Amino acid sequence: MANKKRSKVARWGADLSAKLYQRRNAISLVSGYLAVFFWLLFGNVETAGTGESVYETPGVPQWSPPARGHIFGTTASGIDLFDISRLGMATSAAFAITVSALGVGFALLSGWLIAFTSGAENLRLAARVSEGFGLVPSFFIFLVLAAGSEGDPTVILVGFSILIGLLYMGQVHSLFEERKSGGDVTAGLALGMSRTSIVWKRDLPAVAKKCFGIFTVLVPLVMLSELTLSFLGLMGDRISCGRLIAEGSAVMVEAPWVSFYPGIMATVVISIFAVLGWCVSGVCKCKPMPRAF
Amino acid sequence: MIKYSLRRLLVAIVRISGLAVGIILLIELSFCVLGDSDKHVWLAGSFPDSPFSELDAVTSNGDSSLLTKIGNSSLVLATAYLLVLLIGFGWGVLGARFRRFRLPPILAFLFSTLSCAPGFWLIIMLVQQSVLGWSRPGYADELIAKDASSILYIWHVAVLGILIASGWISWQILTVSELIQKEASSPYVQALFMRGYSDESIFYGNVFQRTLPALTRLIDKPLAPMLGVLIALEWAFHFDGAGYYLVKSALAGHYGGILFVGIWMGATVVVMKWVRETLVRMVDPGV
Repeated sequence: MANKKRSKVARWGADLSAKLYQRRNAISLVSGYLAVFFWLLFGNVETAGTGESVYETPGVPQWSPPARGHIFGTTASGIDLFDISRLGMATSAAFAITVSALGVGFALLSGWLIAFTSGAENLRLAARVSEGFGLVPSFFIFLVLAAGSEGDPTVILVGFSILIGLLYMGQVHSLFEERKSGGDVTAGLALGMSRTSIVWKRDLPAVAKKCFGIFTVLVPLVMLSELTLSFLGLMGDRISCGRLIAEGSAVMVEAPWVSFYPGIMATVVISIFAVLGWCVSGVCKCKPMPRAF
Repeated sequence: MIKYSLRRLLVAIVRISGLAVGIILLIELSFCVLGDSDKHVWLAGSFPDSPFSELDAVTSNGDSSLLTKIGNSSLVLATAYLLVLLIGFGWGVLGARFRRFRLPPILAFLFSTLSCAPGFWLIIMLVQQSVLGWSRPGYADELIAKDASSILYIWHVAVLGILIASGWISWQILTVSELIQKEASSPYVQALFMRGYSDESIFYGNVFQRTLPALTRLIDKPLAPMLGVLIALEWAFHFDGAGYYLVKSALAGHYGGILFVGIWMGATVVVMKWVRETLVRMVDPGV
């Protein structure tokens, strides 16, 4: 039987399958993230309610314990607790992803700019700034910022992102610094590549990959911080599981499920993000682990 | 050694002074620049004598002096910190020793799971169980334990200490085992094995000893995040500590409370950093 040349479509299909197989770990992780995020985002917003009205207790409370129609029960205003907890976690996840992405992006950008200048003094200065911000608990700074601005969403979002960027700046700079002694960089220099070209083509992709690992580990931590600030009543009237737990704790004898189930939802969602974060961090070879804040 | 330690102490004092200035700037930025308060930090009237008159009295805490509150919080922090050091370091070394069985993630699993649950929610659940299940006082201020030796006081401190520590024990186990495993993958380990050294002598006599400076550098890392968790958990548990006072001060816009608790927290981290620097110098004189 004579050898038959495969058609262009068949070759393209085979190449695509091979590439997809090579990236199976990344695809499964991204799918996991998307699945969780879309599940959170496409909750039943109409029945969940919005704003301060969610937390109000009417003269005659309409709460009901978990049953077939409402698996988590209902709140004092008769809103389904499952829907509202899901909406609360969607808000937390969106907040955490935005803040972490901006923060790590800021750290990466500053590291990249300093790497271009190639100044050891600048790197040391960045590490000192990062170390200085690590001297007080980050939650203390979050708390004062949120309390001072009375839960202004823009201030909280921008303030948190800048703080996270400053905290992780030192770590990202050390990643750039480590690259300097790498074999491929030395080879590039020996071959006559310019410093700009090495930073642009070699250093940046490698460091950005590790930054993605840092970002995914940060997401559950920021979610926990957001929940805690909501619990303290410092995140405005946005729907959050933290605020639901705080409101539920006031009626823990009459309706214990109001504080119990939002916590379960928060724990499950944060656990999923944490496991996905660990897996991504492992794939990105983000070792040693990024420090907690 | 003493000269080095004193020099670092001087740096620590400078750091604390810088920290105080930083906190004052943060208060001014948060409340006056980003917020709409007209109480600037440099005005004497911004530090009233009874700052909480306008704030709803959530609990009966607040009668004790700031020193007592700091003492209470220090005890909670010391409990949590000792737990992290003992379990985190101990199990981390154990995990690295039995790395072939992939022990570190297994040892860290329980604590990692606990750290995914919001700490304040765990406190609320515990209070709920205490009131409804055990018919005991729930929040820490329901039956105020004045005497530090009382069982109830120990219970309050232990609850907070264990919950604060649980989040960072898993981090410590994984980081410690990771550092030791990195050292254990060095070429000299294989050479020693080929020369007939036993597993134990290679691990404890060489790998562990060589990793000791890196491990010592870790001892102050969980302290700042633990202090952050302390703030929220004390508020959730109505515990008469510095964290509770800080949240109360932040809600009422009481600058004095924010400033003093902030300085205490920063000073704790800075002092621990100084201890760490001195210890690293002791185990690794080349620093």
